[in-house]
Amino acid sequence: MKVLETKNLSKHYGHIKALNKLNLVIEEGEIFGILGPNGSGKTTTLGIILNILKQTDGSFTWFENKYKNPRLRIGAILETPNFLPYLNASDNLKIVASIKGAKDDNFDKYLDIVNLSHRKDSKFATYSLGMKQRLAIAATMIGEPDVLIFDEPTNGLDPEGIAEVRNILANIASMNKTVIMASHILAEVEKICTHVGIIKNGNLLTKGNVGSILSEEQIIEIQATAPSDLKAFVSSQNFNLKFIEKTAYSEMHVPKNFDATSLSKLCADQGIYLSHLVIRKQNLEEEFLAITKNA
Amino acid sequence: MNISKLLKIEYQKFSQNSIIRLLVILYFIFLPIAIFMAKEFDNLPEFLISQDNIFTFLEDGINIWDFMGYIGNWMVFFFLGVVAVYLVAIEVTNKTMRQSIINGLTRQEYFLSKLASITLISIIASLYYAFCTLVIGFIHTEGASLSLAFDNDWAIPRYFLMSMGYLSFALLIAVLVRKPALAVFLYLTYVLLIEVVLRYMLQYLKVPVDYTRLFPMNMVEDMHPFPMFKIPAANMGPGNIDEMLLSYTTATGGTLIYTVLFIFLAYRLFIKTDI
Repeated sequence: MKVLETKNLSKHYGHIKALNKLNLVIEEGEIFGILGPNGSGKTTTLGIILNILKQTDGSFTWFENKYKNPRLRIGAILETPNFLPYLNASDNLKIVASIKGAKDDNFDKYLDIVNLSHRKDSKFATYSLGMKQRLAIAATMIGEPDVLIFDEPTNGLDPEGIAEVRNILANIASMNKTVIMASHILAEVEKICTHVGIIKNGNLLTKGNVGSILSEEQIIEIQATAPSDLKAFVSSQNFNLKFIEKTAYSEMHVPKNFDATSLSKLCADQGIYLSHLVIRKQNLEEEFLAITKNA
Repeated sequence: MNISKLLKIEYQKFSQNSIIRLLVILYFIFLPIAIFMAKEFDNLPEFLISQDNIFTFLEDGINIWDFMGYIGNWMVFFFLGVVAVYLVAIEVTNKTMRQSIINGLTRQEYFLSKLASITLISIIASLYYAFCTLVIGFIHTEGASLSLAFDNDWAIPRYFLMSMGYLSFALLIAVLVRKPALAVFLYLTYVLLIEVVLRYMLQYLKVPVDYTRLFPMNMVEDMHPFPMFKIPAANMGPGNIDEMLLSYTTATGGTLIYTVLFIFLAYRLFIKTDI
């Protein structure tokens, strides 16, 4: 089932096109990452599909228009955790449950998932940012929604908080729910998401499953005791490869079947001894930068 | 979602808010207490006003319903009007307005929850006004009866409509401005200053008084006006100083129209704008 379908979704602020004819289909069970630099239109997209912002043009449908109020089947955080500061966690969650018409008022299981049970009676105003974010994640799960939406869930958190939230999200992702997550932290998305869409300046640049987005190229991280000799040697070999010098090592973008062992041997034959040789796949960040660079 | 569920959600949101609690408590305390300040003025000129006018149901032209209504006029405007502003503005500040929509309320339901809240506040405020007036009136009126007590020119429905007038205006300001402090400031300033200045400016420009009286808050105020303005009419017959006030019929009609207009504008604004 198509959980979400947008057709030519656009949002203009005066002459600024925050979102430009976005066409997107998210299927049931996908963990869909919306990627893009700051100001690319990620939050605008989520704002429109959550009925917070009015689109200038285009349309969107949830669950193929199967339900009267589809948003009751969606749990979402947009930008920041939004709760009343003078209420404690339980009372704030009660409000969410009342809106969602959730029968179950045992919030402890949700607070357990986000490790907040011990602070359920504390006022929201006394929470750290990480705790606020975790409470917001707990709130999204109330009413057992089919779809969860997270907008920059680790924004503003310290490394410990990021790790905690990332683990919670990984747990949620394994619950067979459809998850839509906007982020500009690509390592986060790569670890969790099955599918991604990359947006820049309001335009969708590419979309698909993570494997298909990542190119077939491999990257060889290479360094030698004499870096200048290495560079000269590689240049002379007519490999027709991209050679990028970095501080600790250089990178070579090579085809999938490139034989790195032969390269090592060739270098040794020339008296160039390698101190670092790592073969790895291109990561999402590199692909993202390549896609968005010229867009 | 039905109205009782929406009101339950509003109660969950605001029953623990200290500012709203304080303002409501102040309304409940000051409404019955303020009238007793009149006990201090026991040597008022007989032809003008007596203690009987203030505390009993006896006097025909002016009695306790008018004085309690006038006190309530200020209390509703000040305490409950600010509550109405806060009901919306606090949610904007804490972004719980947008979160309520994200969680599944439609915009119509969200607006209806606010409208139901101010209507309920107005009903409770009016019932409390009726209760306090009846208690104080019965204590001070010799030989009081229910028929005498309720011979009051529709004072309770007028009070309700007056409350709705203030609170719907506050709702409009809150939806328009969205920042609590600024919204409260604008609400208070408009009623106390801006409209008064506008009316005097128009009068200065020779616009007839009959028109300048049609400003919204003046009409709402005239639902329960300052009772002293009615005294000469009571003592000397109509056609004198009572012309300072709109007739109840005009004030009621005007307040009704303005209330509907405020609610309609607030609704349109809320439905159309980004949250």
